[in-house]
This record gives sequence, C-alpha cells and structure tokens, in this order.
Amino acid sequence: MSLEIFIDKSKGHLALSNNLKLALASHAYKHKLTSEHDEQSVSLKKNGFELFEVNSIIKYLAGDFSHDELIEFEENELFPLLKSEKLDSSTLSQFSGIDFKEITTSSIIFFSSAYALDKSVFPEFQKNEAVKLSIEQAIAITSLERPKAKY
Amino acid sequence: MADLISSFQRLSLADAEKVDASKFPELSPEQKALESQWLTLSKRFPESIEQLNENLKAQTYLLGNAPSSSDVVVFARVLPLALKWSSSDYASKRHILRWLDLLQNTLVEVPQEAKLTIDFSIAVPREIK
Repeated sequence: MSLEIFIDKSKGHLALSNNLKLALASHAYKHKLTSEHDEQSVSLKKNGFELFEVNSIIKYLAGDFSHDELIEFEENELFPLLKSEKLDSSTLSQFSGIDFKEITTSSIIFFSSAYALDKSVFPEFQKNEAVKLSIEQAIAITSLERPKAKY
Repeated sequence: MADLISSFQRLSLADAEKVDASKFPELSPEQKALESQWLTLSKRFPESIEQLNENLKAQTYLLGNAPSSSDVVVFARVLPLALKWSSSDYASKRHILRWLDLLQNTLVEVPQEAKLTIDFSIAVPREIK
C-alpha cells in the first residue's frame, strides 16, 4: 500500500491550519492528499505505519525532524488559540519583522497556524506560487463554519 | 535489549526532560516521526491519553520494542496524571500503566513518594480486541 495522507474534515480554524500544512507539504514534497475518506481527522498511513499528529506528518514527509523555536512557539502558543477558536493574533506582532523565503518544515508549520489566525501574515511568502495554490486548496477543502445549534 | 537495560544507568525523574538521546539505539525515519508525535501530544495530555494507551497495546515501548529517550520524556509527563487515576481507570489505561511500571522499574529513578503504586489485585474486564 502506498502512502496516504488524509485531510482534516472537522470545522474551524484549527482544521484550516492542519489542511494548509498538508497542502503546502503536498506541493513541496509531491504527495497527493486524500479527501474521500470516513475519518474526520488528519492522518498518514503507510503499510501499517500511522501518524495522526500533523506536525510530525510534515516532518516525516520532509525527512527533516529538526524542532526549532518557531515550531515550539506554534505548538505552545498558536495551537491552543486555534483549538479554542480564540482568534487573537496579537501574539504574532513579535514576528512582523520577519518573512519566510523557502518552504521548509518550520515555515510550513508556523505559517499555516499564523495564517489561520490572521490572513495578512507574511505577505511576501504568500506571493510564492506554491503557497498561493496551497492556500486556495486548503480553503477549498476546509469548512470554517461552526456547527449551528439545533432547536 | 536486555543488555541495554542492564547497562543503562537509570535517569532521575527530575532530569527526564534533558535525557540524552545518544544513549539509546538510533531511530528509523518512522520512529523519529513517532517520537515527534508523542513529544508533541504529551504536552497536551490528558488529550490523546486514549491514543497513547492504544499505541502501547501492541508494543513494549513508545516507539516499538526498544526503549528510546522519548519514553523517558513522555513518562515524566504522564506520571503526574497517572498518580491521580483510580481503580476505575485501570481498564481503559491498562497498557499505559504496564508501561509506566516497566519504566519506573528499569529506566527512570523515581523518588518513593512520586512512585506509581499499582494494585495488581484489581480485576479488570478482559479487553475486547
């Protein structure tokens, strides 16, 4: 069985971050995403081997297991904001002076969560054709609507 | 593997987060990815505890049948939670408890007051596989 990557079918900004990470990795490392599946959450499957934590999936696809300060910040600061749908992007102001030049594990992981919080982040990076296409793909496959209450 | 365990100088619980990965066997790309996964997910415990139990169902250690530095780090993050578990948690967390007990008796030196005491007399329903 070949490698399969399943997208996040849940709703909300964490799903957008997850799917943008997968879309960027899919462009950068040439793997197709699978959207027709029953599972709701992100996963990678290959011959009985399975991952379900998205940053580890990105690292595995890139073959780069380094863990820098940006990834640490994303996991400790941005992930909880997205998970709780508290879309406060003020924490990103400390990164306003930087922009990414290349698609790497670090830029994929940090940019995706930053973008899910604030669409205007890293404008130069967003001009990259692969990034532009990945954003379009992630938005197309993610539902940002919260489930409506039933009366 | 027994050689590794017997020659291994046990790490203190306080130093668990600073464990030296070079003391353990080299990891494959798949094991490195799993290591990354558990180091990330363990920061969010108790979320993902169920998956941790499932992961330990078919293997002795976190990444397979050999210990790794991630066993030590994740052990230190699970232990405070496990100390609060009651006997009613035994069935749903049985594989974690088995793994914690193995680590505290082999790889990690846990102070007596922080040690997990497992009541082996508790009968848990047979697991449905």
